[in-house]
Amino acid sequence: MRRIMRVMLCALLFIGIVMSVGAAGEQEEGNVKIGALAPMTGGKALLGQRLVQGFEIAVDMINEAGGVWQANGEGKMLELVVGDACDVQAAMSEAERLIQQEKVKVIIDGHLSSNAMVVSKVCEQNDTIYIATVGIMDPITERGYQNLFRVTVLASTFAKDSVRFVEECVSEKIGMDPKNMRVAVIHEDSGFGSSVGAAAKKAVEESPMELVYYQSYTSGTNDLTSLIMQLKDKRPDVVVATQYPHDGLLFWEQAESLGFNVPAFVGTGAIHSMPDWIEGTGSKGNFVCGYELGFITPDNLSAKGKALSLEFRERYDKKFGGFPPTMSVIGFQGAYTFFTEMLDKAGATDSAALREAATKVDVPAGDTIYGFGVKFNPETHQNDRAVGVMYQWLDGEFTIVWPEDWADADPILPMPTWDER
Amino acid sequence: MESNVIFIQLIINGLLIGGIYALLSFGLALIFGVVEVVNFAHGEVLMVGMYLSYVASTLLGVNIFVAMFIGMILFFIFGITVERIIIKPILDAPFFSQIFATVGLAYVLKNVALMIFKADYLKVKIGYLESSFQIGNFCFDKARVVAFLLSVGALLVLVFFLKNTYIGRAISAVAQSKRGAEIRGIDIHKTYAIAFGIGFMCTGLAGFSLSTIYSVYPSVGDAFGLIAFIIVILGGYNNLYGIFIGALIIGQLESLSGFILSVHLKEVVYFLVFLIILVIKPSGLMGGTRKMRKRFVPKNKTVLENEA
Amino acid sequence: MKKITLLNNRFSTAQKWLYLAILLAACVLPFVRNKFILDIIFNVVLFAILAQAWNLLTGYSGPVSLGHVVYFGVGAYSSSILYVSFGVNPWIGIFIGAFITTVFAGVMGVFLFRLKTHFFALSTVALLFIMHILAGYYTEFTGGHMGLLLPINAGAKDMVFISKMPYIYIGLLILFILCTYMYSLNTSKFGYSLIAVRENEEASKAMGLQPIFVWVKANMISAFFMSLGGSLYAQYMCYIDPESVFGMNMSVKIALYAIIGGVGTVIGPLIGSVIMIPVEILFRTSFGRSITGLNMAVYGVFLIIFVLYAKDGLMSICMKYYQKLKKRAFSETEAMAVKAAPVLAGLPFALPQNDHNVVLEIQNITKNFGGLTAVQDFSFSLKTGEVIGLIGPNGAGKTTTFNMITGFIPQSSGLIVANGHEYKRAHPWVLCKAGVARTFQLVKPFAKLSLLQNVIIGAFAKTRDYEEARNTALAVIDFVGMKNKLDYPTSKLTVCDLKKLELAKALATKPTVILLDEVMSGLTPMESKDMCVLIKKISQQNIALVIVEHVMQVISNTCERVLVLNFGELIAEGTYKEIIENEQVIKAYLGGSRHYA
Repeated sequence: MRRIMRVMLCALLFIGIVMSVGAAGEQEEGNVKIGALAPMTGGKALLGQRLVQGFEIAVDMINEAGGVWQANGEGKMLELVVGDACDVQAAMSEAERLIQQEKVKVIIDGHLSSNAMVVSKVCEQNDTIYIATVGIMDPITERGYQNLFRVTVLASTFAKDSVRFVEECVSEKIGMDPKNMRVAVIHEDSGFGSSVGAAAKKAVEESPMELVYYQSYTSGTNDLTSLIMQLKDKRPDVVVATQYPHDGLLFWEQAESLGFNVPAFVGTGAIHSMPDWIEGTGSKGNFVCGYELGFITPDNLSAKGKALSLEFRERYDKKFGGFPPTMSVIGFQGAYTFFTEMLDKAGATDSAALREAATKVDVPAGDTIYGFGVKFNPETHQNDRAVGVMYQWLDGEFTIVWPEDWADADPILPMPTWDER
Repeated sequence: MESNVIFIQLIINGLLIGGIYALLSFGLALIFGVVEVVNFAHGEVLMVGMYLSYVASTLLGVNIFVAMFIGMILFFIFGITVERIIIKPILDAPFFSQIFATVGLAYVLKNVALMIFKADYLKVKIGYLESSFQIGNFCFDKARVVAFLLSVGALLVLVFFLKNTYIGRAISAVAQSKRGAEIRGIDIHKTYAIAFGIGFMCTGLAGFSLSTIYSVYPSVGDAFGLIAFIIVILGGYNNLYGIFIGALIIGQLESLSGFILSVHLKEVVYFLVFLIILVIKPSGLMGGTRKMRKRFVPKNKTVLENEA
Repeated sequence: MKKITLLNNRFSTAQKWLYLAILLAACVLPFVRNKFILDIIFNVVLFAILAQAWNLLTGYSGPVSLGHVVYFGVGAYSSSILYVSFGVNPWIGIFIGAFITTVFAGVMGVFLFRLKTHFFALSTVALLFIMHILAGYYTEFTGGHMGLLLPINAGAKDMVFISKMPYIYIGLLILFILCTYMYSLNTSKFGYSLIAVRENEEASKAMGLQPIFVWVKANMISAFFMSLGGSLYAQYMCYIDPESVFGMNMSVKIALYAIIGGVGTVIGPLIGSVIMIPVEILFRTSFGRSITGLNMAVYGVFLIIFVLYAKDGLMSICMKYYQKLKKRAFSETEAMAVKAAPVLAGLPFALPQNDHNVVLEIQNITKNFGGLTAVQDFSFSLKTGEVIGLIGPNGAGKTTTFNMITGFIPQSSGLIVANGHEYKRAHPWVLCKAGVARTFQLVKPFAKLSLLQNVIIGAFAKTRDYEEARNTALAVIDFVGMKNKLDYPTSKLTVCDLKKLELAKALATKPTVILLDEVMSGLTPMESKDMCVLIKKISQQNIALVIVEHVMQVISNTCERVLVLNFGELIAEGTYKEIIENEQVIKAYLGGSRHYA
């Protein structure tokens, strides 16, 4: 008898807990719920939190202007529901929760390409639209998912463009013929680093330049001395690196202490385009180039783009203080484009309407804060117009130096040595 | 000529890393050797030290050496507290209780740090420790050299302490033979507490030192903790010189294999070496002649109640 | 190898209810539509499998495997690589993967189980780290840190389902099989072996068990199920990478769930998973986001609290609450045993009367410890049913000789001949199988078991069948006169009982010779007398006895022959009367010429 009681008790407890979790999240009439997933805790939390800040500003802007579907006379407010995707299992669970419990019809995501793989699968199976604002691994859009739309740049574009910069611009500045240039490619080995790094390797091999060193390393590593020693051994003219904040800063610091000098250092994300770079390296971090989605100087954009950019900066400063970091820009623009071009024009949240609206999206270059336009490839749903820019840290300022249309200054290369910086 | 330069630089790097690793192993050795409890929270104690260093020097602007001094006292108290609250009740418990009590502690420490400081990678910036200096063709990173010297200093101080002070000798006695020490009138429980205190103190010191070299973040203790264990087991947990040498060896292994083999595999190399040595000689490389205690010998009982 | 014993009407109540719960879950499942809840249920089932598999090794047999998730990862990668790179259908691949993992676990086990407990735990962590790094390194093979993607539209024929339910059903099936297996351990030799080596490694060796072999086998079975779980996970997520399947966090979680529920029980890990996973998700959705890390910190605190105050988990708390005896693993079966206890005259395996063979012969054994010679060139032989005494002053080498004969320490030279076989270096389990049994001076009962179960372990030395072992045990217990204490836990037994238990355990192994190590120490004169009677009874069963003693009355009472050792050498041999008159013997004990009455 006692044991029966015990087993029943446990069963009841279980059911009770599950029910209570399940009960959470009702549909509040009148608001359009948008799900947002990003790593809010854990190692990549910094990036995730900034991304979500961008999302929030986009939501604010839409809501203050009267909401979506005003053309139909409805004017519904947007409501952002954020899920914490700190690792792959959490991403899956949160995606399910957002869809099932919170009843979101759309998920915009942030960072961690591996999460995007899993979340996109969940969205596809639940007929939920999935907007990838950041995840850049090529395979994300290569699986033929119908509900997935990627606004941002492909990893391969990141890499190819950066290598093109090296071949065309760097070679000229350091006065070398590309045929004679020695290029080293290093990257951290998670999804992000690997996809960009592998694409960079390929791009270098297809160019006249010589690939003298190619190495990946664990992003959580606490020591890169061996790698730097190998680099010193190879004496490259350019290093192309894909690094996260921790390893990027570590690399820089250890490179200094080992006396590793290189004429040009081109970062293909992620740390090199963040304010944390110059904070972490001080003046020693100057002259490093970084490829990123551009935060174009407003004057170089179209009128529409300029207005948007200025308003965004102002709102960011008011709400969070300070100059917006690139991650927030990316988050903001991705969400904003989606809200204005797809959601509003679709007039509804069901996936068919949204997909239909997606085919009609045609934002010209210059109208967005990061400069490039938006047009989704009908097959892969990749934004074919997505492209980044090359920055360089000059005097502690992140300055766009290439391509010329959007450049604010000329790149200064070769880099001075450690002592001279 | 070029490759010679690289080779020697690698050896220098290896020595410096080794010295650092030694510093973070001393504390563990003391605890492991004396109380025979495996402190799975060792890496996290180190992490706490690193955060304390960050708070003191970067947030509060205190001079790092002053902070180190105060920190050491705090850690001593920390160690005794942990011993009293968590360790003492489980000294006689089945082995897995010991493991999981310290694993639990590790998780608490790691996540409290996460709660307070978030996951950001923090840097402790000490002006004069930045950058490196050159001797001939070779680069010496200042912060690492300082850490290395601290390590040597700690080694000498500890050895002196263990040989020449009453408490130190009591600790050595308990480490060698609990029964023998008891019979000589040494209070075992007090000794355990002090050993923990000193062990944590060393680890805290290592944390301060490491914070000048590596970034500080909640999971930083994971890898270091394991390295410390490897070194302590290889070096013989009751032999501080052995640990120092063991640490230097591990440092060399890492430095050389990282260059020759692959950046990725350097950790695999010393883990593998660790496993292989353990299997061949379970008492460690320099584990010495100390008789291996049986597995579930209760530590709280007195001599008469417990005979091997 | 893995025989699953289904006992027709021997299901314990708990087992019946567990099956009912699983059946209920399986029936209710189709009505659950909410995918979020289904995801939770899947995780509960998956972690239940993993926690249970871990429980098999660590909870049941002892060694703390901290990096146990390594087998989960190997399984996940094996089946996935086979599928993605070689096109092997996952329905088959899952088993090939399990096979690979099991072999891997076996090989690792052979090396790692030689290590002391905390070294073992560390080595499992090191192994996990190594596999994590390797999985990230061999990118062409494993997808590296980018991970391995499984095609999500492959369909049921490839174990890829749109709905989550089939996965849950598969998981429930695996769980069912695993739990059934765990219950069957209650009445199997292997099950008893696990508990024996966990409770008392030394004693288990004397019972014919080889601890390393037992652990390796447990590790392999455990790894098999971990691997199944890993493959199922891979098919469910359609994506694996080193962080998710070789993660230390997961390893700690499964241990935590098992601990909270109660290690060493079958239901424990299940309860742990059922309670903790929904709680964790609740935490993450309500707290996790706003206060980063709070949930894991609370886990850490749970772990500490449970380990300090409730290390046998919720199961034992429930037990205590219902005022039962402290949780034993095999409670139901003893009640039945008591009822079925037979009444016997003698031991069913007594040796024939006219057997005058030499059962044990020691030839010139010597033991050197470095420069010290503890035993020098000692020889004697023993016939069926003979009782001899081995005496000598302290430090004479009696214990050393004893340990050599029983295989606990190797001799430096010389031979031990038991049952016709010659041994230069024999292990205790080998000698036990050869008919040489021993008792321990400081009694080594298997603490968490009852009297009957203790003796059953001994009986398993010579049989694989539970029924036979139990019958032998009952006969032996009756023989030594403790029939009324069959289901007493060892904590309830007196010193004298414990000594008799030592004898009973030794007897149950059906030996031809038993060596008694100061069996009288700690007994009152009355109890000593009883023990002598018992010893005589044993010798009447034609079992030879070697008695090491200090109490002379016992020697004079029971021994036909006495050997005297001094400084490692045999100085006298003869009847009791003869040796007490022996000048050398007197000198050895008293250091002078005086008569000892």
